[in-house]
Amino acid sequence: MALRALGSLEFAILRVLIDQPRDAYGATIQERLEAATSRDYSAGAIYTALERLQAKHLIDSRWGDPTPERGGRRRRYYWIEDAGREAVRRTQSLYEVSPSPGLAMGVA
Amino acid sequence: MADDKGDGTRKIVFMDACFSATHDSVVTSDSFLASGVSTIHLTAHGTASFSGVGDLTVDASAIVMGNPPQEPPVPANAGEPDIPIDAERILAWITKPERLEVVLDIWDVNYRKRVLRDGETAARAWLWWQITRTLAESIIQLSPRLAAFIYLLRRIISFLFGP
Repeated sequence: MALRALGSLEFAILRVLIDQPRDAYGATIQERLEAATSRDYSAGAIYTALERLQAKHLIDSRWGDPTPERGGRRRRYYWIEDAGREAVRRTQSLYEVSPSPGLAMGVA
Repeated sequence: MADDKGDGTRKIVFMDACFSATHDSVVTSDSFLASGVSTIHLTAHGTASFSGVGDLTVDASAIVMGNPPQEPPVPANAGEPDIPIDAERILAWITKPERLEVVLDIWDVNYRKRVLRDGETAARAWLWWQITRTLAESIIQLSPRLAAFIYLLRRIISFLFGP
């Protein structure tokens, strides 16, 4: 297994996805993140983190169907993969050693 | 004359009303609105039940018979954020379509919630703040050197003052 950096936002998103294994989308992730961390994350930052997590194969996603209520826009749903759960477990144990989120390393 | 029916509604009989009503008609009047009662549903000729508090004085001449006024149809996109088209175009120009779609969806959901919770003005202010942030982030991402500088700066600030 290769060691890969897991940022604090990525870690927080994975924790959110563990709690909501199905049908999580950008807005619900943002809402839960803000509730859990009391920080205001921009939509762009969340999307970037989700992209990184997907590139690391820690999460996966699918596009929903476009609906008139959203002006014909699609919604993207995310869920956590087994590798993501493992990364959370390992990162959590490292957090106990190093409480600084910026120093946290995950294993993917 | 009005008397309490004991079930939270009150029954009113229009003794001197110069109107006739048919079974299950609906009457409306400005005087009902002033009393906190928007409509009165007639249950029989000349009698009606209504929900409200206190006494109700009805000006019979102001009563309008017939169907209650219809609310204008709510468009399917009601409450949808009116994201400024210029901002959307700029975002579309500097971001990937997939990113734009996800970001707009997040804004859309949040905007609707904030309109209900904080009002439209506050929701619009929040939306503009989000647009500004996202534009700034996208511009930074276009320039790797600037992104690296901002990243280092944030790390130094985080190191000095805490996360």
